[in-house]
Amino acid sequence: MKKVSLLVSFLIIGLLFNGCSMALLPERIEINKLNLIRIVGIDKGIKNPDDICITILTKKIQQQQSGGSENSGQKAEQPLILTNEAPTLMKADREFQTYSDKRMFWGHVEYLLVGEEAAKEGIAKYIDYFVRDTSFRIKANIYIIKGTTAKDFISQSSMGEYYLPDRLEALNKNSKLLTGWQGLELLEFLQWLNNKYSSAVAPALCLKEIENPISEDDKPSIDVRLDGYVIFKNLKLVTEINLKQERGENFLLNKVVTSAIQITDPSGKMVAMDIIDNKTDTSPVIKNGKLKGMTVKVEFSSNINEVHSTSDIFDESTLKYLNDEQSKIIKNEIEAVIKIAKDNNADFIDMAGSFEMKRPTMWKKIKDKWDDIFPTIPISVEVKSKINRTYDIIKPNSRFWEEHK
Amino acid sequence: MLKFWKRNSKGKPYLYEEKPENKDVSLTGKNISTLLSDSDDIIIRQLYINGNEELAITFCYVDGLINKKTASDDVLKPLLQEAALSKVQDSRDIINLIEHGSLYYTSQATRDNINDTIKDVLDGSVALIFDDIKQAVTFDIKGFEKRTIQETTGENVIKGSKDAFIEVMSVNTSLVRRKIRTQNLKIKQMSIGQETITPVSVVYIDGIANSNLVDEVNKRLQAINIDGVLRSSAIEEFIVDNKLSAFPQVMYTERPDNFCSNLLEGRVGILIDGLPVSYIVPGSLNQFLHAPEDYSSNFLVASSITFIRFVSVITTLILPGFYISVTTFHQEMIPTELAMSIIISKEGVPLPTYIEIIIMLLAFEVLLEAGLRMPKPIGQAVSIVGAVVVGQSAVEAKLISPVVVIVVSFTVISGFSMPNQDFSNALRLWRFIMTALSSFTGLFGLSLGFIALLLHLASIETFGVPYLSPFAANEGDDIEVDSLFRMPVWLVKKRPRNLKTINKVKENSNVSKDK
Repeated sequence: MKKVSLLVSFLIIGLLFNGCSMALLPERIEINKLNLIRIVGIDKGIKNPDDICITILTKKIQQQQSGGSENSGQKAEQPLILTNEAPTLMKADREFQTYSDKRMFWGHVEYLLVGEEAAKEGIAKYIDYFVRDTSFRIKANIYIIKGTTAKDFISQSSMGEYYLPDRLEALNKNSKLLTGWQGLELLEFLQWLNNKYSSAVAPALCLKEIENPISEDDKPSIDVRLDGYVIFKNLKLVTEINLKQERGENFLLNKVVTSAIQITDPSGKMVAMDIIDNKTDTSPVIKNGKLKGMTVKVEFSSNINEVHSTSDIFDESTLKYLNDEQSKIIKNEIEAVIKIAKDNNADFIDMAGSFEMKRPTMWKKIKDKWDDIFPTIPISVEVKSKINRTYDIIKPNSRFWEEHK
Repeated sequence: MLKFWKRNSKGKPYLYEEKPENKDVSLTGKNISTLLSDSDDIIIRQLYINGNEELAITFCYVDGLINKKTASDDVLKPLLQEAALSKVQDSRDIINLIEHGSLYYTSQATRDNINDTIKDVLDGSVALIFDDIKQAVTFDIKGFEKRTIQETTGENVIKGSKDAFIEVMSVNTSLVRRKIRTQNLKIKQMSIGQETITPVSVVYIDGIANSNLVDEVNKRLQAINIDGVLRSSAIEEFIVDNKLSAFPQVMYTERPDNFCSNLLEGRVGILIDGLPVSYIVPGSLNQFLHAPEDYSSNFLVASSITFIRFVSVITTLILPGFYISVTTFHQEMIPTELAMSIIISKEGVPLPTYIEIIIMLLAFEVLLEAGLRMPKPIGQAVSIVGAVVVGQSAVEAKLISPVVVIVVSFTVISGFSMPNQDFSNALRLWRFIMTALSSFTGLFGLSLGFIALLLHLASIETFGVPYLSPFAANEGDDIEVDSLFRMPVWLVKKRPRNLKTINKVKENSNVSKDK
């Protein structure tokens, strides 16, 4: 009996003292009474520039008219886009709850899109609510929208044939093929933002008109495209790097998964190389206890994936030439990105992080002067590469015809 | 207060009457006739040994319990015609000759008190009562109708013996003796039940079973004060340690091979006359999750299936509660695509999720109960009506969402994968408790329920063995042997340590491997 009463007391205490001060028991909401918000767009206020404009994308589920036994009970799913403007995001969120027949639910937000103008003004005030509120997913991916507002981005891209969250998910997964990142989580972005010595980087998106020959009408459709990275310094967007410069940045951050390098061989034809693995080591150069510079050592290996030439390029001299050419290309890209970083005094290439990891004691001495040191510090880049394989064939595929002419 | 509940000053109900022990009643035919009167199936006759009127005895038996032909040929005929008996004039000499084989029947006992004589008669013996010397000779000539040995109803295996216990104690003990032929096998019999006087046997292997365990079992059985032993609960509910728990604490089996293998492990068995099941003590949670066919099939296959059973325990307990929690309180836990599917499927259903789940669980319970009571020809039709028509109609009428039907179906099916029905029933009860707790506070309530269940199971000890062993209170011993996985027989050399057996090693360690 004593054990039973102990057990019951334990259960009652657990129910009563579970941290819910508003009510004895937590609020119960049925899942079909929720509107799952998938994408959130943040802009500077349109009507009032001091306000914050928030746009959300969710799905509206409507019961179709029963037109037969096959269709009866099926649901139509349409994107539902709602916009609101208020001095704070919290007020805008609360007002949203009255715009729909269901409760807006933030727990499934996958993408946070911040407009360029808002990012230039200072991103901190636009993301504080999402970081602070418990219902928001801190692992949502963040993108900066270039060329338009986040509101227009969401509205226009939703008119296309793809559902925007699915489109962004595919972009996320496949961007590594173009040396891009597989998304940047808000949590990781915050860690960068809060780093006093490094600058944060965020991937960017833009809208692009594309000709779609498959479509029935001649109207060009609008699609979403990756558009390089934007750089933040002191919480504000200061500069950007384009798609071509992305690879250099990714090498410096050791985030390259795969990439395509196009080289012209000695005969003037194209050869495509596929980077399969890479390693970047950044370390400070210390001589006699003084910081002399930073070295970036890059090692990567690639496979030959496509050869346009009909002549046999697989001799030692041609392979050495290809090796040197690919190293040169990567080195140039890395040096270009380093120049942008130094010109803007924005260490988005994580030199500070590498310094701290390699020489923590020295870092403690110089970290407060890093802002002055970084723009002038010499950074040398050494790139070594290796060609591994040629996939299924060694000789060019037209070699047979050449031999039998 | 006592009068309100209609009890006497001793706390016993007024309907209870103390039985006379017949202490001072002498052993005569007349007294037997008086005590057993008013029963037309009890036959009492006077016989003359060898036709000698001076050697009159009373012949007593119960019609229907004895084999009349054996009684006639092997007892009556020599009694009346045997030449050796014709020369004897004294009852004592007659009893002496009978004890030394003058009558052609082996199972014979000499009684000198009326209670033992009546007990033998009611048990299926014939009694020859000698009034002059107040003694009786009884012959066990049981000949009542009994069921043949058949296959088990719920413990069938593909590879293995097909025999099962029946209602007759002597047949059951013979099945055990045929499997364990050592002289160390001990079968100690006692009678339980004021009115039924049911024979109950305690079976163990001397030299293996812990003697304290055997003594405790005997003590608890002898302490049972009950009218009759007609159902299994008459024994089971008295000997368990935690009488308020829904979980079974003694294992039951219909299979003699299962019974004997547990005796060889060091456990103690109980056989009850009139019940075709045997009990094995002590029982632990691990035992209820192993089935007899595990030891007939390959150990890898058996291990995988055992692992699935453990997963099924968790599934059947927490799946409905988990579903309520994530769809009502923690929607952010569900993957987005799955959440959308659930929303679409639940659109238009008026009932909250926890009501849907409880209704479906109750419907399944009613269906199961109806299936037990229905005659077989109607039972099939009911299952089709209940499962297919009602379930499908409920979904189409938007009373229940399809996802709930799937969740509850999977829950119930997982519950049926338990080899022990009592254990499965306990899980069914706790499932409702978990569901109720989750409907209040989501995963928090579910965790509380799970902790409460664990606390409860950890607090149970059966005959000194923790219920959760070998997972708890075992210092890690034996956890690799026959718990989550079934180890191959050639690897298991020691008996379970929690049973504290006298002989800890299974094989004869003195025998060299060359022999």
